[in-house]
Amino acid sequence: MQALRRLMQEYKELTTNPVEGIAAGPINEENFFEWEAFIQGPEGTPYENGLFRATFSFPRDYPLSPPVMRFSTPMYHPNIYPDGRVCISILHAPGDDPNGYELSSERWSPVQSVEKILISVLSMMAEPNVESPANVDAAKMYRTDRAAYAQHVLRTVRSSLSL
Amino acid sequence: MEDDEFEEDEGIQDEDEEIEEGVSPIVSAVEFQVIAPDQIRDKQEEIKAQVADVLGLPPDLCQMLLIQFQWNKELLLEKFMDNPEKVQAEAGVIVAPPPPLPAKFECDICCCEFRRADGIALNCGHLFCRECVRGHLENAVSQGPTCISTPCPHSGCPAKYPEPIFASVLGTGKFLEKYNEFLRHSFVEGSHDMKWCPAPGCSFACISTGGGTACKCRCGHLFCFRCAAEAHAPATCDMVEKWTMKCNDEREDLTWITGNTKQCPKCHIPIEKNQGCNHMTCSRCRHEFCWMCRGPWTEHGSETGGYYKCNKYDPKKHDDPYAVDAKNQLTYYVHYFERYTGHQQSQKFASGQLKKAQEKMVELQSRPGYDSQRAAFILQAVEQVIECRRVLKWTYVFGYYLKDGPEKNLFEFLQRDLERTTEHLSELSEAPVEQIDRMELVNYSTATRKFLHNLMVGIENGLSR
Repeated sequence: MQALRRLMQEYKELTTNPVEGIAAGPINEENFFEWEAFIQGPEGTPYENGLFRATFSFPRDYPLSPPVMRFSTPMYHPNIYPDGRVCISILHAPGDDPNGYELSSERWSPVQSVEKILISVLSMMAEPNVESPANVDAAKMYRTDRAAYAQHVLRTVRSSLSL
Repeated sequence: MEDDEFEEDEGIQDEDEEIEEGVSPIVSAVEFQVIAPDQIRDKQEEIKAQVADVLGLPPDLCQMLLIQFQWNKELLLEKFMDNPEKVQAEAGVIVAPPPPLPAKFECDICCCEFRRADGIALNCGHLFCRECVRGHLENAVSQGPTCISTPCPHSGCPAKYPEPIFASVLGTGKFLEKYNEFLRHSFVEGSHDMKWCPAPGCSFACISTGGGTACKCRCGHLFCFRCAAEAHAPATCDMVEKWTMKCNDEREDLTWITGNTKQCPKCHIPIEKNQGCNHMTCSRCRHEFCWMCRGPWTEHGSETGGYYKCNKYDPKKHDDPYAVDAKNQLTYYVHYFERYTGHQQSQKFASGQLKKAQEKMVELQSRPGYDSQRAAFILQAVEQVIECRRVLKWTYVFGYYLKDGPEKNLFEFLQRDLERTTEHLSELSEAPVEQIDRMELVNYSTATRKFLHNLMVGIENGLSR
């Protein structure tokens, strides 16, 4: 099975050559189609020092279709829906652009991977895309009142650390 | 096609010929060419070959360029002459052959190793295994029409898959069929002289070769080439759009009530019209009246001289002691709307009569002296009624937007003529077969066609004598 082999390969790659600030793997090794990931808030951003958990659900035709990524830690971010789903171009198939702002070169393609998604998420945390917000309130606050935005994020960071 | 036995019909026979050839004052078949899906393909190949000839590139790559330019050949050639590199890059076309490919490679999608022969690469040189490319392309096809410019899976690679790769990788089956359908659609929708027939389930396309707008598809549907609505001469596309919006704006109950029911002028029971003819007989009190103006039917005979004169809007008829402008406007609208819906329903009813007409034709053919051609007059009469009803319906939209003046008077005169003969022809054509007088029906068909012609020509000439 193509999807399973590919997921095992990615898991192996992520454990042998880990990327700083991210860790990911199957929640349960019996089921390779549900993963969890931990992301360290990038330094110099309001997310700094936070540790955020997200889950990945892979479709049976992975990597032809992209996985769904969802934060299980509460997140306050312009490109994350209040229910935790991440709205980022790399997770959208070409031709499927709900907000109409993305270039097809940034889209999902079968050579993308969990690692590439997580790296994109890290840069999204540092630089939100306010052109196509999933959380309109967060986007508005990010644009108009950066200090209040940082304050809001800090609260989520604290709760991610259970403080 | 003259018949010696029936010499008196000679002139009319000639007229019959005219109908058979599909020449009518409104639909001129010469201006449109109807083409089936495989002929669309031929047209596509033709344009591809023309572009390949000019640019000196392989036809399949030219197709990619044409897709990028929505099949606008002229624009493509112009832009290509300006900046060929840019046009090629945007279309995902790489003309240079790929770099040397390794004998063995790992497919980045499934992470397995393959021999070069088992892989597929575009001129960008990114090799993937055949199975993964198939999955990638099938996935793209299920995403929709954008599949006709599917990029190479390699991250950020601009190269796009041309048609032959789809054909060879997808083999035969529903994915390739779907891909070809999307390709055809992009071609027809991109070509400004081509339109899909808007009838549900019809797969023909029509090509305009002249300046006409009323296009008759091979499936029988008659539509406006410009706005894709039903053919609506003499009303213009603008009028139709405004009219449709207006009709949607009016309260729906008003629309339904005025459009579908009327009270019997004598016993006031609400009556819903379920036949084509305007000659109504109340099922309760047997009162006979005209559906349009609700006047007694007796006033509509030829002996009174004022028959069928119900297409004229007479403000006195709708007088109201508290008449205000808005009220007048509504009454004005309702006057036209009622007649519009009246003809619309009659058109529908007449379309339903087509099957009956065919049955009558079969019945008639069992009689001596009638072959299928001589019996065809029944069907032709019903077709004539349908055409006239459709045109009459739109004349009320045209009339609604026509300002008062001598033009309007002439228009209403021509409209009245057509309405009168259509009404009569409608009644004659609905009669049971034993009551049908061939001569009468043929003569009325001819007369009706003449009045239709007069109306259309009159409007075309600006309604000035």
